[in-house]
Amino acid sequence: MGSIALLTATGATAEINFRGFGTVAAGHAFGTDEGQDVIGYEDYWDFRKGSLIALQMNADLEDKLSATAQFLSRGISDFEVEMEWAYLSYEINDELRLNAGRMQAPFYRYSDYLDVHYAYNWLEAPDRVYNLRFPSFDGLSLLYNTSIGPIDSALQIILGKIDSTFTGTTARAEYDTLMGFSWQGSWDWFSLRASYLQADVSFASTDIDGIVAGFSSLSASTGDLSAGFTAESTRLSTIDNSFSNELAGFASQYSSFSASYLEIADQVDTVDDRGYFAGIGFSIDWRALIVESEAVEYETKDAFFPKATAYYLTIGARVGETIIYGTIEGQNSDGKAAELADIDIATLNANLTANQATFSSNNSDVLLQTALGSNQVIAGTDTTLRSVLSPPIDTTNKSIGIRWDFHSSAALKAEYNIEDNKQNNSDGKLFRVAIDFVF
Amino acid sequence: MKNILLITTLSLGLSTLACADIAIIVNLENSASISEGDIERIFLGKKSKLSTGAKVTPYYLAQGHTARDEFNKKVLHKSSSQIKAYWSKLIFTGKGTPPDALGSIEAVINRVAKEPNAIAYIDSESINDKVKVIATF
Repeated sequence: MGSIALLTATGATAEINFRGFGTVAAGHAFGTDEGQDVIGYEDYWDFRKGSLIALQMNADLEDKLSATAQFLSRGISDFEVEMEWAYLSYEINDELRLNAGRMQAPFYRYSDYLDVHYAYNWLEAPDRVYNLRFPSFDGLSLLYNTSIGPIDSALQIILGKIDSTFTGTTARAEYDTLMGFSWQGSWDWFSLRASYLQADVSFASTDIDGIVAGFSSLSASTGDLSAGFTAESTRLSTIDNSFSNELAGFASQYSSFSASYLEIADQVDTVDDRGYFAGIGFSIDWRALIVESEAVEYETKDAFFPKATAYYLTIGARVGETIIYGTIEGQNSDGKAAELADIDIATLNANLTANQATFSSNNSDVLLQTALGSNQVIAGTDTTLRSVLSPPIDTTNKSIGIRWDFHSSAALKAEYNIEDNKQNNSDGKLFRVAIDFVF
Repeated sequence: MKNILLITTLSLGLSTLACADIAIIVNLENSASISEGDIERIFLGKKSKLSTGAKVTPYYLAQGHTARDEFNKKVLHKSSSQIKAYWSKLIFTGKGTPPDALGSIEAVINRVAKEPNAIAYIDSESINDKVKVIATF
């Protein structure tokens, strides 16, 4: 921690404080199946993934105004420096504070200080809940702190947007008109929290674009087939009225498939789709006992990422300067494919094949062969496209950990984590150790 | 490990024995009524106004003073590292800043004697007539 006084242009002095925090961490996964990881760790010692260092600069501009900037450098991003926070803060009165600039939105209980590992007991916040990482947002945040009898209430309301490129990719995420609130009520040793945020979500990535284009092309193919059957139905209307009607039926089925594929393409394409995030949580810090829990649910309607839910429960004990804890956490999602309509090409294909003789007697063999060939391609493409959508998730982690405050500004932490991925029937173990510090 | 724990426990025990009570001090002019609960809330940044309506300015003792550790334990009911973690949450999220820490008992007394709305803590053996004691722990 350091502090310097600067002479500003107006001649007034502005006091500038420097503070910072960091983590040096190492992790190693064990017993993983080929190509699998546990919370991003693989079968070797990784000293970079969990390590980070941050420097925060705070300038008191007097008259209730202050400016803050926080620079963060993560091992996982090759220690490239990012500006996580940069905001002006105005203290309206003792209870109200307005921040404007770049900040972290209050999705989770620990969103605000997720990177300040020193401020919590885990080695890292439970991954099943916290693996959906939101970048900082740009906008306004109003903080309202008040006491209602013995209860301390903290309400935060935000409005702004997130515009971000995913690390190491060209994929971009935009959360327009991001707004929401978080509320926390604390009473002695018990605290309760709830949050709800929503935004108009857009994702741009070549992967998503490819899948959308794939479903659109299926819509076009089935549309073409529908047109083919309609034309043949018209040609045969005076020759074989009953078969003509049957062909019209096939045309109408293809037409409905075409409409369905168009809708699926729209359900995968993520442009200005309304998304929400809801979370609840509580904590107990009573004598030696520590209990923490959160449950979250998030969904962006008609978007690439499916609805998911997650929770964790931590129970721990404080023994002097040491905290021992155990955590159980889980994450569930039915996957994106489950949210999309099934297209029953197989039944249509069987009905077409059953009519083979009638097609022959009406000289419609070419149409039938074209349709049967196309059906095979459509069914194959359909399966492939669905297989690359966000898969179902059913993962549970159990961990035990220890925090030891061996120094007045640093803590040593170790954690052993067992992951059970029921979806792909794999499991693995992770051992992590870290030193967290503040300065 | 066992030995380290034992030594830590012993030294903690000794420092407790060696340490005097904690006195909460305010300016002589300060007539506000301040309860024990208020004191805890003021030093955790949860309360900033006195019953008189004045904005209160709390001061900590610098790290390393035994009175600071005692104060954390007896008044704030938290260990020093818990206090540090508590302020880290607020500092790095723009939700608050800890009170300024002064380097010596003498500096604390002088500051409280000078500032009408200051509140601070010292060990009770250092009490003198420049400041008013509102509570001891």
